[in-house]
Amino acid sequence: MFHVKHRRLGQAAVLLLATVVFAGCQIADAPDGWGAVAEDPDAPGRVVFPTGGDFVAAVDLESGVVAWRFPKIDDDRRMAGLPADLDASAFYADPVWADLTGEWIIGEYSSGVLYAVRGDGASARAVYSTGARIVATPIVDGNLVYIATNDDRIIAVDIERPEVAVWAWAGGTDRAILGTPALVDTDDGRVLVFASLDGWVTALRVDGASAGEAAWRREIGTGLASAISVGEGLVYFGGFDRTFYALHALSGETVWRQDGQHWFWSTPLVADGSVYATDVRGNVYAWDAITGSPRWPAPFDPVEDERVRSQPVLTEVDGIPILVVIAHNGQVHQINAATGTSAFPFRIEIEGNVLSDAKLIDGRILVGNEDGDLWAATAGVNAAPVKIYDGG
Amino acid sequence: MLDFLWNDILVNPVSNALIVLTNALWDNYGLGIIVFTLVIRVVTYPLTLRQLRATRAMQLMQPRMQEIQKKYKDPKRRQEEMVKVYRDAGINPLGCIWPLLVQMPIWIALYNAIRYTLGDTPEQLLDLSRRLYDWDFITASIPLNRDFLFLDLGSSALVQAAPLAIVIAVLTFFQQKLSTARMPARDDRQQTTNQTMLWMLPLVFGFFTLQVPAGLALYWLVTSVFTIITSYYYYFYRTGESISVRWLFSLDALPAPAATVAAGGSSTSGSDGSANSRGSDEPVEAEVSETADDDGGEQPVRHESAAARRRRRRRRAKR
Repeated sequence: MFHVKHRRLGQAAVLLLATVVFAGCQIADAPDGWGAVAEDPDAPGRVVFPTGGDFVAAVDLESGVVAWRFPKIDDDRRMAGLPADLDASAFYADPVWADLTGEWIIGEYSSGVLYAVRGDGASARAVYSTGARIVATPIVDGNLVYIATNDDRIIAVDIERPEVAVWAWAGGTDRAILGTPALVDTDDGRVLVFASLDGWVTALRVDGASAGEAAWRREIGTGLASAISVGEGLVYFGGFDRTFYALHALSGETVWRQDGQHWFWSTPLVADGSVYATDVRGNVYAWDAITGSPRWPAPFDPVEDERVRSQPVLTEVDGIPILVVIAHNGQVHQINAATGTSAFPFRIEIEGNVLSDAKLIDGRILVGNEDGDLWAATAGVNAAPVKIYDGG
Repeated sequence: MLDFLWNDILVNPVSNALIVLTNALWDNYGLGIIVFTLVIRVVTYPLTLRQLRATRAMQLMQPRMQEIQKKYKDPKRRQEEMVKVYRDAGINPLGCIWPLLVQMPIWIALYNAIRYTLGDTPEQLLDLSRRLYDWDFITASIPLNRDFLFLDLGSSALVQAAPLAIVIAVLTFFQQKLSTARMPARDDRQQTTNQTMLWMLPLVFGFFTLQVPAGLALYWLVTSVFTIITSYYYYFYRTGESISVRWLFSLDALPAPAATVAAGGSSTSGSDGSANSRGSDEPVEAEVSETADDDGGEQPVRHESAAARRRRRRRRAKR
């Protein structure tokens, strides 16, 4: 009995040990991606949607039918024009429409390759291989695409001349650019402004002979993962130092700054003379876009202490401006943008975890979750959101 | 509940402490990983010592086990005899596993803390925000400076992962070699298994190193060096035994430690200090007796422990 008991105990202990080791020592978490849904300008009622998995799908909003998938048409076949062994890991960048060529520009995370997918999904091609990871959404500017990489480079590529960089900037410190840059018109010409994790904000000239040169650089001194938003001649972003900044787009000088309660990561929303921002603990702020003075008596503080990365959406219900903020746990907060209080007595919730930006398309708020599902909610309506596409 | 225990009690405090330590060490994350790994290893050293003692005691029992294997052909009888020897020696065969089980969550917490603070994927970096304590000097210090020597601690690029993989594979080999040096095989099959593990584990760890950010590889490296030093200190330095460089690079085990053979009525003292005497009606008695002093040193000796003597006297008195 003694030895049988101990042998079983030993086996159980070894099994437990192995389970603990394997459960605890995951080598790496697979990236999910958080690219946002985009409206298809060539096909009304259709959206292009990074599914939170390893493909991008064009989905009909009414029927939920998939018109095409990139890079896999199905489990076995790849889209025409792509290598048969091509696999994608995740899409953090939103798909962007290139009007000039009638293609979707899609940046793939792990491979760091920028692809162009024909509007009808019939074929795709590689535009440029960056050799680094891509998280930020590319900026399309006529025939040029500006790509921000995870090793702190900005590359300008001509989409009609694949694999040739028109210019490249690598003057940073190799830290990731996670937030989407913004193209800004200034009195001194257009600049591409971006923030990187090394704590620097940089404005690069994009026109003329000095294209690719820094117009100004500004050290903030904290991690910056937020995308840049633009309005009133200012650029807006938040940092890991719990501070939200408004810099002059022409000079990079600080115009105003406000304290928050945790990291700022989501893309600020600039609308109607206000700038709305959320921190990762779910606090929502509204400031005057020019002066930075608070619009609300206090930040909107949801009951749940939940992460928020999704960019807010501003809509209107019965003449009242409604700011919709979707938390990581799927809670849809509808805030009266004029007062900073809950706009409705009811609450709605999207199933699954949400990190991607919400978009207002055809009066509905569309957002994808980490399971690859596409959801639609209507502001001011006390009804459960509708699942348009099931990512399985 | 499990989530609370794992994250709030273990992983999150370890993650925040790692960040604070990194701040204190001139914002050098590499130094932070090294020092923190060493601190955790030193703090859990009493448990490691228990494990080493138990393993050592098991190793010292091997000659006796081999004899039993030879003597008894019936598996059931053989098992009974083995268990009896363990019981008489006061050795719990699981004694080398429990300390390991207790330490394992702490090591895994440290491993995960390094993963989380590295923030390899954007989701991991975002997830880190909810693990951080609400103190400015912690939240504002992310992202950590990942440059260390020639390494980017957040990168798994082949150019730095390949040399690291080789170093870790070699260290894992030495680590295995030293910790199993006194583990004589019961039979040919076990010897083959032991030899396979000797070269297989380094390959596995070397392969893992190619897949993970260099920060985790640094953790493995420090852990391996610490284990090599403690194993060498415990198994060789304290016992005055020497090892040759040639043996260190070979797949061979060391010869079994000198066993003390005592006929009839001998007794064994286990590493945990308990002991039992056995009657002289037992078949062939070949026992290893060991005393372990408080700081872990032990010598094979030819006497019984005080506890064993007391028990023997009690039995005599009963008769």
